[in-house]
Amino acid sequence: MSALPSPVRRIPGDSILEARGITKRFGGLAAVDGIDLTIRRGEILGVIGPNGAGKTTFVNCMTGLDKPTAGTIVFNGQDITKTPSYRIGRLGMARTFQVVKPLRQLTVRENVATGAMFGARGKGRSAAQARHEADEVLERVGLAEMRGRTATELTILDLKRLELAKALAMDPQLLFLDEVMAGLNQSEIEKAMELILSINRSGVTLFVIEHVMKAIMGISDRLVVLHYGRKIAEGNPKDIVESPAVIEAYLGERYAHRTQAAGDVNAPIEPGTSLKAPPAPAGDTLLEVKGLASGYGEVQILRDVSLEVKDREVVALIGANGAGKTTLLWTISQLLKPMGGSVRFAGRDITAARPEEVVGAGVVHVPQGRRLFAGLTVKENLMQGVYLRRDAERIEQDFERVFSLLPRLKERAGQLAGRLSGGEQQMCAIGRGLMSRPRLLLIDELSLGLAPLVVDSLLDLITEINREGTTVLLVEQDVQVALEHAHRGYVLETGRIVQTGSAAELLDDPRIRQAYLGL
Amino acid sequence: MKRGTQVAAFALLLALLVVLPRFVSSYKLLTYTRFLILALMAQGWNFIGGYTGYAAFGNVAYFGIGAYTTGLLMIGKWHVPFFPALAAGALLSALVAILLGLPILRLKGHYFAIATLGVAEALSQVADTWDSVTDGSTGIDLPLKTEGEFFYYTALALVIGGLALTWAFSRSKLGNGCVAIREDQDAARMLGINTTFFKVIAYALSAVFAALAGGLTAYQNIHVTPGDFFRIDYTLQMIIATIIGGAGTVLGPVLGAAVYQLLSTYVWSKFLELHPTVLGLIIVLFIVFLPRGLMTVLARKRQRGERPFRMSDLLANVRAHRVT
Repeated sequence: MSALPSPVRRIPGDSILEARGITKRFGGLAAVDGIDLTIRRGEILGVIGPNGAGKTTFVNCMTGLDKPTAGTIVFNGQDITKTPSYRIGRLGMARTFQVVKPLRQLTVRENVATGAMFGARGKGRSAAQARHEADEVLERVGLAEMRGRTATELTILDLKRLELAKALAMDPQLLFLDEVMAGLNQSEIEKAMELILSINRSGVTLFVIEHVMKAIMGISDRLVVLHYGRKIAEGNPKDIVESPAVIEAYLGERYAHRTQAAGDVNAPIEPGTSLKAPPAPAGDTLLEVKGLASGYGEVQILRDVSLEVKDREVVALIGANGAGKTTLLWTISQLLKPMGGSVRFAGRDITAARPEEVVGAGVVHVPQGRRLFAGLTVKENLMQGVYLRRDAERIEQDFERVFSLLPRLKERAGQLAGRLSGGEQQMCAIGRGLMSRPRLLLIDELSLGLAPLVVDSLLDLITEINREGTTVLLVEQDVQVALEHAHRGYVLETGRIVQTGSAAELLDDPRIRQAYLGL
Repeated sequence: MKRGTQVAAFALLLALLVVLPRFVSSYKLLTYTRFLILALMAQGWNFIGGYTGYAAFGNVAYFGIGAYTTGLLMIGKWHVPFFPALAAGALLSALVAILLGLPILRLKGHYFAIATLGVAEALSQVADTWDSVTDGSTGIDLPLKTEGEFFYYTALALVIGGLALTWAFSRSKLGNGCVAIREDQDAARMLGINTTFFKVIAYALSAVFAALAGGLTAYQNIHVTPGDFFRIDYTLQMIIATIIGGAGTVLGPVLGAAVYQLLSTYVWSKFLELHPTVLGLIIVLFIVFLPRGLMTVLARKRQRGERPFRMSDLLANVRAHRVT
């Protein structure tokens, strides 16, 4: 990072945007819950927060894509709370989308020209002038050579550049960047940081959502932390990442409390937490992952990942957002084809198997975000878990087993899955997995978006399932929660395994914070 | 092809079309006129379905409005001449499209398609039951005009006008905005595009073309009934022609209409009884192998650095459809 130009000291400007009491509810859930935020003219404001913190929804509200349920937004002294999004673009606000939204069948140049046509200075511009304007922007973001390609031909990295170019072509005063660096490697991240700084120096105020902590620390003048839809911290980046509230948001409440008890965030942590998992059985190796490489298209996420899970073990896989945890699970269950390496299960190579063969072999995946069939009842959802089974007579028995493990599901058996609470949905997803009679259960983000009490009962459930003989590989963001209920753990950082050990060892290791917070 | 060659080829084709009536029988001329009228409808559908990506399934509604308005103005107490009556039909269609478009263009995907189907059906019922004006299912009779060349040249002029308009549209901010809506509506909104306004304009344009085709057909047929003029066949034909030729391209709808008319006439003569089946099969093959139309074969844009079309691309298109 020393190679980077240090951010120019900016004079604290007046406010370019004032958001007051912004709330956005989806049904009963407040994705954004009363956020007050001021963006100062000329600054780079970094925004961090765990998955589901409400970062993108907040940007959607600011840019008119979602209308806030409550609150007011003032941009350059003008109330824009009710202004339609297309007019907000003309007023001088632009954004990129986390999931890129190129105009697919158009060329790169036409994509960017569209921004120049309808942006802040688009009024007086003809279509031809806009195309000329687009060329200059493409030069700036390093896409000039691609101008003639259609967007479908671009790699994800170039699509991210295109996303930025479209927004820049609108001549914004305020630009929202939503995770433009996700999936980039180290040198690409540094280039992206330089680009962001140069955009800022040209007079554009920036609001940057980013999971890559090193990057956001390097470019932000101020940092805001969102968690469960609320602003939990705001200030100087250095102070922010060391504040207990942030550590709590990222690593879980109890873990943070122990750190605090130790006084200094970098001091070793006092040992002596209770482990909930029963003693590890000395089983045979059930799952063996060797040198696994994986990713999406041309973007490689996982590099040389090796791990093993023994029969009847609970293994926790922890790591920050974007570390590659979900990708690893997807690759193990072959929903994503590996680029290299091997996956063996119960002595059998399943590397090139089809996903349904993997399920047939006994590896069942409970995906992040549950992925229930919202329009089917709980019972119908559970039934989806028995597709590959031939033992009809025992299916009834398994219903009883799932219902006795999860009595709540029995009460709700006739209800539509889409109407369940978050915790009940997670139970239903696990129940559906159990109906496949797995030997190995892969669970992705068990606690995501759930209240602590609900998480506790789900974890007890995991322990119970494990005691009955099912092996579990648990992906979890909350370190304490995950490790307390596991026998062993692996720590994943930017696509590599950086640490492994028994749950007790990992719980007491201060380096985990580094993996999460990039300190 | 170089630009000069293109212009020369186009001029030659145009000259051929202009002198055509001197060389063909009046029956053949009717077929050519039918092709031009289909081309006109397809050109219209191209604005909303091709450029803007909204699957309008009810454009026959505007075909019918055009036919009835033109007919009713020409008869009755006003005796308006044909062209002003035709223009009035187009104008009324545009107005109806704007008023209906405002609510239904908020719908997406199937919902929009179903809503437009409903509009066409509702208007058909209005024509059928509004006896005092439309004479119900008996229909109305227009003044007789027998010169086939009149209809041919009028349709030709309208299609050429349509080409010019589509060309200008495709290079304008309006056209660019519509394409952005087709590709990603949220992205379009964030790029500063007033999506509602653009969609309504594209929909109204498509209505105008359908109304012109309807008015012309009414005058040619001299008799307008709800059953003949609100037939969903017309909607399907304009959609199929546009897709065969290339939705969202300037020449595609005209090319597609020519191919459709040619196929239809040929298949009709060879497979009298299986006509719809064989025609249907050919259309399915087109959609499977060339989902983006014949224009992708003929006009790969050289400045984009695209390679020429290869036969293997046909199979690649099929693979792209496969659900994995």
